[in-house]
This record gives sequence, C-alpha cells and structure tokens, in this order.
Amino acid sequence: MAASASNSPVKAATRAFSIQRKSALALIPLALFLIALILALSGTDYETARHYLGNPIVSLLVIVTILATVAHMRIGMNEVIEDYVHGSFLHVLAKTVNILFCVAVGLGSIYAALKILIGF
Amino acid sequence: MVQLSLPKNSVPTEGKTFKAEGAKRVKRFRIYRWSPDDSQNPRIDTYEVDLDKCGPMVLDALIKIKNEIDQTLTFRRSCREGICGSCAMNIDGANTLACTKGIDEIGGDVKIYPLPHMPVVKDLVPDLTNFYAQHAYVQPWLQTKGEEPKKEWTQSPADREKLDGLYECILCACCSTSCPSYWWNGDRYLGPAALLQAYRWLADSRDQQTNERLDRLEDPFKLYRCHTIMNCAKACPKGLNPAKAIAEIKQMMVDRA
Repeated sequence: MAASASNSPVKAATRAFSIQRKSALALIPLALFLIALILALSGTDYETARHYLGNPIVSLLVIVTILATVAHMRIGMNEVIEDYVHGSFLHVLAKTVNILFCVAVGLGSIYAALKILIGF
Repeated sequence: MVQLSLPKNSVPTEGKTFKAEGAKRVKRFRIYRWSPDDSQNPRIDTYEVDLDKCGPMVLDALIKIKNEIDQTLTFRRSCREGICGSCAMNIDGANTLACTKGIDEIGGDVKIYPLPHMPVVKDLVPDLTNFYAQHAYVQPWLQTKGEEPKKEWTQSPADREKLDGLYECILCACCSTSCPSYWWNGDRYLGPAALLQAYRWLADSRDQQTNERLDRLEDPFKLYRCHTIMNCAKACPKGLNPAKAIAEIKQMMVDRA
C-alpha cells in the first residue's frame, strides 16, 4: 500500500464500528460468565446471592459486562435508527432517547452492583 | 420512516396476454410494463414464447418479444455475453443479467421486473443516475503524488493479484439494487458496487491517495450502512464478493485509526 494512514484522527463512524465489534467479542466470555453466575445463584437465598455478588472479582466482571452490554446496545440500536428512521426530527429524537435509555440502564445497573459491593 | 409497501400508483395491475398460436413448447414471460407517457399504474403483460423458435437465454426471449410480438417493450441490452452489464434486471426474483440467465434455469413462468428500488424510466429500464454518481464519487482512477515514471507505473505480479475479484466488476448494479441497506438509504449509502470499486483503488499498490480515499468514505452512511447481508455476493453475475471488499475497507479504517 502506497500511502500510510497511521496519523489520521479516529473518526466517529469508525470508532463506533470498532467499539461495536470489540464489545461483541468481549460479550462472548462475559455472557458465558453471566449465565454461569445466574445458574450458580439460582435457588440460593438472598443473603448468599448478595454475598457472592459482593465479591470484588465477581462485581468487577458484572460491571464490565454492564458496560460492554450498554455500549453494544447503544450502537446497535443507533444502527437500526440510522437504517430505518428517516426525517430529521424523528431521527434526532430516536437517537437521543436511545442514548438516554442506555445511560439510565447503565448507571442504574452499575449503581446496584456498587451498592452490593461497597454496601452503602 | 422507511416505506415498506408500494404507493397506490405503483401497484402493478394485470395487463395484456399475447398468445403463441400453434407453438408446441411454450414458455410464459410475465413482464413489468410502465410508461411515463400515460398516467396508468404499472402492469404485468404476459407473452407466450415458442421455445423451438427462440434462443436459450432470457435476453433472447426479450429480443424475440420485441422483434416479433410487441415493439413497445423497452429494455437495455448491448453485448449479449455478460460483459457490458446493460441487461441487468430482476428475473425470477433475483437480480441478474438477462443475457447469461438460461430460460431452462427457471421453472414455471418467467417473471421479469426492473432492478428493484430504483426509479423506472420505462418498462425494464431503471434510472441509474444516482448509481453512476456514486461510482464517480469514489474517484475510480489511478491517483499518484510523485513524479511520473518515464514509462508506465509498474506493479509486481503479487500486487496485481490483489486486484483479482475487483477489477472484473461491470457496473451492472445487480449487487447494489439487491442490498436492503441500499434500498433504505440509497441516497447516502454508496452501495456494494461503488464500494467494491473504491476498494479496487485502495488495494492498488500504485495508487498513492489511500488516506484521502478513506477520508471520503469515513461517514456513518457512505460505508457503514453495510451490515454484511451478503445479497450483493449472491446476486453478482460475475461471481464477485462486494461484501468482502467492504469488510476490507472497514479493516483499513480500523487499522489507520
């Protein structure tokens, strides 16, 4: 290849594409972890479940899973909106609602995970 | 929002039937007809063709219909051997070239429509203005920065091989018009054909505008509407794989980021 492009700034579209792919890859083991965790905790009482979820390593993995899921979810829904929702007002509204929803779900979930971890 | 149904004035009606009197091996061709000269809805005309007096390809039948049955039938054609891409149309539910599609490959009636989701000029002739503008947008010619060599710009056989599967594109538009992403966003998404052409120059060892070419594609719509649906590769009558070329462009985008 004749020209090098290594100094180009990261552009939004490529960044979104890259995050979508990386989060998808990360979610393969993280989803398996989550399934294993749910199976392990099924049938246990509240205190036992809270004890395991309060383990720092488990808590960290849960938070990473939340972050990867929310990032992937936002970009995925954004793709659907870009594809199918035309017209400037509806388009901007749908994208804004998508961001707000993902931020709310992410913050709420991380707050819950931290509350169990730290116990505040 | 995306419109998923045809507008009322685009819904085809049943048209005329042209019988093949005295023929023994008859094949029925049901062909989309629309003229801008009247305010009628499109219609589907039925032509019976005597296969004993017709060539083997769908284009042979179309030419026979035009010459012997209905001279008003309008379609593009030129080379008759899969090189020019003029006779691209939707045959039996798939985009392909009428000149390389055998009549015997189709069971039942042969249904022929213009390339999907494109404005129709008349009958089987789509308006490809936007398609060609998108091709021009990727600047499909060699661009260099350095001093011109005394003879030609040379290339190793290995570098030349990288263009195999790319340079063969005949711009028939079968791929782009089979792509759902192109249907919904054809005004902003460049489509498989233009992007395959873009990669043909990105992959060319002699071209020195790689960064600028990538910049022109860096956009949520121009490149990233491709969701690897693969209709393009399935439709291509030349057996090319535009989806792979698009994936290579995305990889180049990520690599330079």
